[in-house]
Amino acid sequence: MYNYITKTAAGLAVAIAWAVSGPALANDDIAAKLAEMKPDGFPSEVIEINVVYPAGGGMDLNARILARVFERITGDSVVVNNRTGGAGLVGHSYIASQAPNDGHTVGVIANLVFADSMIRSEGAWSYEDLDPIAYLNSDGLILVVNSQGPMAEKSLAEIIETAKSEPGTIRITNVPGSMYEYMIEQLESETGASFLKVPFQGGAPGVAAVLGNNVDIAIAFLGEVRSHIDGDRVRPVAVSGSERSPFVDAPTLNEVLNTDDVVWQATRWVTLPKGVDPERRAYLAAAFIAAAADEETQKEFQALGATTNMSYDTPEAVAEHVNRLANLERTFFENTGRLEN
Amino acid sequence: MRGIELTVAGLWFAFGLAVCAQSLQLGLIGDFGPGSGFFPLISGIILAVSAGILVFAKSHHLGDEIHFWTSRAAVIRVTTVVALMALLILLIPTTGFLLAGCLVTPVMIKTAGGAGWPMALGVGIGAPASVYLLFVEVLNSPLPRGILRGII
Amino acid sequence: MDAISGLVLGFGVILTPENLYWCFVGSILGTLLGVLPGIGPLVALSVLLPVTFGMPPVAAIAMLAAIFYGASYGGSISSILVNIPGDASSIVTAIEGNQMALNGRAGVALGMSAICSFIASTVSLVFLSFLSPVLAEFAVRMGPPEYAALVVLGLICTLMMIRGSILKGLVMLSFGAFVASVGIDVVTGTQRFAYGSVNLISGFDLIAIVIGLFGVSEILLNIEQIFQNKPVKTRLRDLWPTKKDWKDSAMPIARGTGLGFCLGLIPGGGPITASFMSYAIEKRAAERKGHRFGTGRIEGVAGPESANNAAVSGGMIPLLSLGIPGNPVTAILLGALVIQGVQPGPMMIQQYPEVFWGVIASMYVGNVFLLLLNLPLVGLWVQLLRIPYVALFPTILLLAIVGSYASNKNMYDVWVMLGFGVLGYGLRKLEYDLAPLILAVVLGPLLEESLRQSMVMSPDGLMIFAHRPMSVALLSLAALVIGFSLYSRFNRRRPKCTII
Repeated sequence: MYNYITKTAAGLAVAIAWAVSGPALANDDIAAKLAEMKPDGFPSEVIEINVVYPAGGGMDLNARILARVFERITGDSVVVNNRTGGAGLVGHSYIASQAPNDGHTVGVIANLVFADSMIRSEGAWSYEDLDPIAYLNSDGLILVVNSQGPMAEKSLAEIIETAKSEPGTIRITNVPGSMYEYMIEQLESETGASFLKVPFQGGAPGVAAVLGNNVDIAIAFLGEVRSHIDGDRVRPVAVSGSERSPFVDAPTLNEVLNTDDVVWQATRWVTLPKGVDPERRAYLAAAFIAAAADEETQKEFQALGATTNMSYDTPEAVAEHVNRLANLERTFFENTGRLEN
Repeated sequence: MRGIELTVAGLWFAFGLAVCAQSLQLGLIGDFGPGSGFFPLISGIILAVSAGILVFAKSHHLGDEIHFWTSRAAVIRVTTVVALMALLILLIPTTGFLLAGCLVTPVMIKTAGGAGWPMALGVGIGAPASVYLLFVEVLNSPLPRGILRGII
Repeated sequence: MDAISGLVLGFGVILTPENLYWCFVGSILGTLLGVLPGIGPLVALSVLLPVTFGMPPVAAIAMLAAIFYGASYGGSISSILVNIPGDASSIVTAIEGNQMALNGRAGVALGMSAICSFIASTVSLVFLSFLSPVLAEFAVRMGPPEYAALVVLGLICTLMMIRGSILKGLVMLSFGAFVASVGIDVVTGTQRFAYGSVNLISGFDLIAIVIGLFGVSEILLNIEQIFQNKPVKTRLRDLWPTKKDWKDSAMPIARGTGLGFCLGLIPGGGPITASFMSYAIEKRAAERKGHRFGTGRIEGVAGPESANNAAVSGGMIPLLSLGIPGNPVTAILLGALVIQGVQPGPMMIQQYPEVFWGVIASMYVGNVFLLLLNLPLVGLWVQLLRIPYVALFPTILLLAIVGSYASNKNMYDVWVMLGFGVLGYGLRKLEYDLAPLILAVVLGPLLEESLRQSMVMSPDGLMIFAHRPMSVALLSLAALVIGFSLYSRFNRRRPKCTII
């Protein structure tokens, strides 16, 4: 009886989802192509998408959107697993070194894996043990100030000036050991400014702090600040991507600093452990690329504030981009003494 | 029973000292105020001091006595359950939850529970199966499958 | 839009057959999962989150909120009946609640738990409805110094609840603080006590600790006596709270609701801290009247249960008004909203008033469902005790394994559970009180993080606490509590409390 109710619930949920995603019927030919590519006997069980961050967070949401569309176009069942721990280290280690490579284990990861691979894994595994197959999106960081606080009228350039002339008085949110810290470091070294870095566990607590005027500048992803920007509680002063964001009216860090190498964003992609059977790999690659390119996915990604990029449409292109990002980060680590050359 | 309390208190004392030692290595002063090792050092100190006083008290027979062991049979039962649980957890990655459960649970019921074979087999297979079905089928929350991958 | 018209809109949204159905389904699913010993609200929510993806926003959140309330209540059921909490927030309910069950008053405990949860939720939801914007503003002004001061106050209050030997209590407290510090130091990003092990770097999962420390140890303790008299003797003498019970519970409910709501409001606070603090306060209040806790006092169920539920509603305020999730549960709710395309935050009430008020209305309705569902079922739950322990304990152990595995899909957590289970068994036999241990595990990191953040922010070290009015107020309160506690100790011997 219990079983029946839950099955009804699940069935109703699927039905409603189907009704809601009506226009996706146009993907019938994609579905047909994928069905052709599907290797015999695969998948023989539920495909597991591993996310190394907790449920409800940005990465998790991206993965779940992708999973939903993947299921729709391939008909294979997929489950999202939050393999959390060690700020991502546990999950990354798992995918790189312990996950079975029969194609049923997939990871949705971001460029945060490089720090884990190069520094924290202490040689146990490397990002080169992973096999990128599909590109998802990228998400720049946004620097915001309280719109009624002491920084309310200042531009980032002015704030940096203050940080130079009065070192240690401008409080900025920081997440130690992550891209937030690297970005602030780079900012400081390029301008000679000195900020007071208040540590937090992530972007969201930092946003809470800036709302209460407990810090002067907060750094966060768009998803974490958008409603506050709309509600005029905070004002964005810069974005950290390579280009301006269409959602936010603020210059890029490079514009403000007159440089071209201060770029920090979270780039997300789908990866497999190395050594998956080529036929299965090709199928999964095609399916995930199609899922990422799907209209619904693109819409949802953009709604979350991420920037999509359709040019990485083969596993090789994704792998090349990933390696490029890895090398950029490696250079940064070497320059800042975190890694020996 | 004095002996057990004394030993345990002694163990806590030693542990507290170890925590203090490790905390000192982590560094007490960071960039601004306390470093990584500061708070663990405080916990280590409180632990060592409290345990130290306890050791002193127990060795001088202060305070009440505690009855630890109720009976030999009880000890055997508890140890059996713990050992079987450890075995179960060890087996799960290789044989999967379902198989490991069906193998170990009947043994547990028979030995520690002292029930007969019908109960042992009935619950011993029924329980792991129901738990497995509940989580994997109904709730879609996967459990390790080990060697049964591809079969179920 | 003012609160009244908002509520009217909200109820209009929720009182449709579809939304009511999902709310109902959520209540049942949540309760059933929560009853499973070792499975608490967090696990239930994580597991059932995907079911809501295809649903419209109000239905999805209504269902999730109902699942959460249901699982909390289910956790109380298993705490009271088998002394195995489903979640850290039901730990204190187990202390008095299980004693009541052993005294034959299981039905009363269950019934009162349901009723208190309902009253506390409803009252705090009313506060939520009318005071949301004001309270959100207030909550957001709290920074690290205020958090630190608040945690100090909480720790001091709960130190009052150490039972038995004070020295042993201190050992537990400091050990708990140590356990919590294993892993990554959030302030510097460096590893502590991890020795290069990838698993130790993530520390010990709280759920695994709770399940092992309280659940597995309970089973091991019962296994000892499995052949002696039936471990749980419940006479179904009373199923319904008496007039005296009502009288005794009135103040605890009031205090618990107020306390829980305030604590839930603050990001980082929440049901766990609220339930512990409420227990400490009720224990004090009862002792002043000459009653001893540990024998099955209904105040020990009424207070914490109210605090627990009020904290959930309090936690919804930062979530809905500011988009700030204060604890893992509200983080999941936040994710669910975002994936529905609804961005919680200051604009939510303007952009999606029907979702905002619909969610609030759904929480009222969910609580009503729970009350209606569970009160008649009290008799049924008590029957669970009739199952022979020989069949019950292996099932619980299996569920414990699944429960600790489910959060991170890592067998390491299952080992942690077993380890803490054996440890808890030994400690309980040696009359070490486990409550300070778990309290230190929960509050320790909060205190350390807030304190160190404050030191970073402060130009003059610890003086930052003196500069900020709210932290001054909280710390003075803590000092008052200490003073009062010492004073009453000199005047009257505290029962059941020794040095050794």
